[in-house]
Amino acid sequence: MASNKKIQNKITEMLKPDYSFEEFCSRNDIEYTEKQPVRSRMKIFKRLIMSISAVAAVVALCIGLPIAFSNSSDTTNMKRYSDIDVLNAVIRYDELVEKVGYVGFDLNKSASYTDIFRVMPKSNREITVGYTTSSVIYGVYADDIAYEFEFDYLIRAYSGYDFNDIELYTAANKTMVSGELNYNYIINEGPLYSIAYISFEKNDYDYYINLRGFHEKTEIDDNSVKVFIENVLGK
Amino acid sequence: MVKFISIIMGLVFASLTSIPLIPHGDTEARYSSDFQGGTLRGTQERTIRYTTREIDQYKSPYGAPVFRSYKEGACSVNAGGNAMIYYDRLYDDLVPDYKHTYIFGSFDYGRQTNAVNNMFDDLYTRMGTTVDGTTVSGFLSGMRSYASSRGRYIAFEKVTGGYHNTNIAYLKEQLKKEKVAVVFVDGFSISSNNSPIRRDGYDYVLHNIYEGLHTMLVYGYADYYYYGSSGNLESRDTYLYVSTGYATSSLGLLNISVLCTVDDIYLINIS
Repeated sequence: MASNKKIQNKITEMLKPDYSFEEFCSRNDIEYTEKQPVRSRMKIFKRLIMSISAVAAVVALCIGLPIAFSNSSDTTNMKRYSDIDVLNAVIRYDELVEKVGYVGFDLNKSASYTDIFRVMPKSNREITVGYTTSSVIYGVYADDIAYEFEFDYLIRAYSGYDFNDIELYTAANKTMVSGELNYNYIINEGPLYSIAYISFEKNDYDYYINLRGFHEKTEIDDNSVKVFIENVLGK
Repeated sequence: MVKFISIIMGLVFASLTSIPLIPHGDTEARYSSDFQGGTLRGTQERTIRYTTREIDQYKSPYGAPVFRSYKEGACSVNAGGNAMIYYDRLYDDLVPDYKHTYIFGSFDYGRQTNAVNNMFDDLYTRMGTTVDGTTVSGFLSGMRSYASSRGRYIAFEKVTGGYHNTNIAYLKEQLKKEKVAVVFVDGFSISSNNSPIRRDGYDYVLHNIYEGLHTMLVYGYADYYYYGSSGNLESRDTYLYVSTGYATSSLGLLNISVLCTVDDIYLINIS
């Protein structure tokens, strides 16, 4: 009895044509075009998609990285902090000098101040958005006149820190040059007394001073602001 | 049977999930300078035009201290602690080792020393303050406990009323007696303490607007009555002089008649 394998081989031999497949097509006037296998076409499609993705990724990195690592304050997604988003930590005066380099005035010559604080966001205490002290009392003599000033002082280290009353500083309408610095200020006349809002820039910091007369004994006007800038600031 | 067990389990699950996660005794609002769910904030400029105006104002000749605790959620501690500093000029033992000073012949609260910091830490504990803030009841009991520990008696007088939830007439009367008050607000604005700024023909006010709960020390008031050309009262702006508790603009004005909700306000007196 023959095995299945032998039977299969015999059938194949009997059915085998005397000519090739191409010759069969030619004899029967059949035009044959070989098609690529489906799997091969999928591979080409995949490669095309991967190439496009790679190019898109490179383009995105080229555009995105400079924005992500830029320090520009114009970046619209910049995180902003107001006074309720921040905490304070006390630092010493020598630490302040070491960190900012230029403080703007000599705090050791003041008659009093509350304390010096490093201002940091509650959400990220590693970041410093500024340094501040308040109720700084300073007395100076100019042209034999005693001036007694009281002021709050902020050194802003991060331009996204929108502290209270920042708009009053940006509304400054007067300028004074003293030494190498350009001071902008505005005097706002209130019902009882006036306050000067003074600001200037140096290096990477913005400086803001809320200046009033100590116990309202010294009137705040252009002359007293000039005395303050020339005798207290820039020292 | 299976259906019956499913119904029973469903009822058990429903009753378990309806148990409040916060214990009932801890549901009282905590006042801190943190946002409590609001998102709107920023500034608003306001101009008030008038023909004539009348100003009724007073602020303590001693101003207000602007010291701050370094701890989070401590605005009520700041307000209460600064009240203790304010009254320390009358009772020197109220804040141990702290002493006010005189500069150029004028009264001043001086530096924030360790004595001030220790007092803040003590109040933080006595008030049961957390990073989320302080409850009104915690504030009152913490202040009483602290005053008692210093051999003093503290009296609180609630001065809520019909004018923007404030009994403004009585509050004014008592502030003029050199008392201070503490105000608990939910949504408020702070303006520069020389507001309103005088412009040509109108008053200008810049409001720094905050949503959320906050506590501040009150040491005076300024009530503005604006009249039109026919002499009729057109508007009224009522401000309280406050120690804000903020790093900048440490002293400011709280306008209780616009952009503000007063939750509670208490006069403080120590004897």
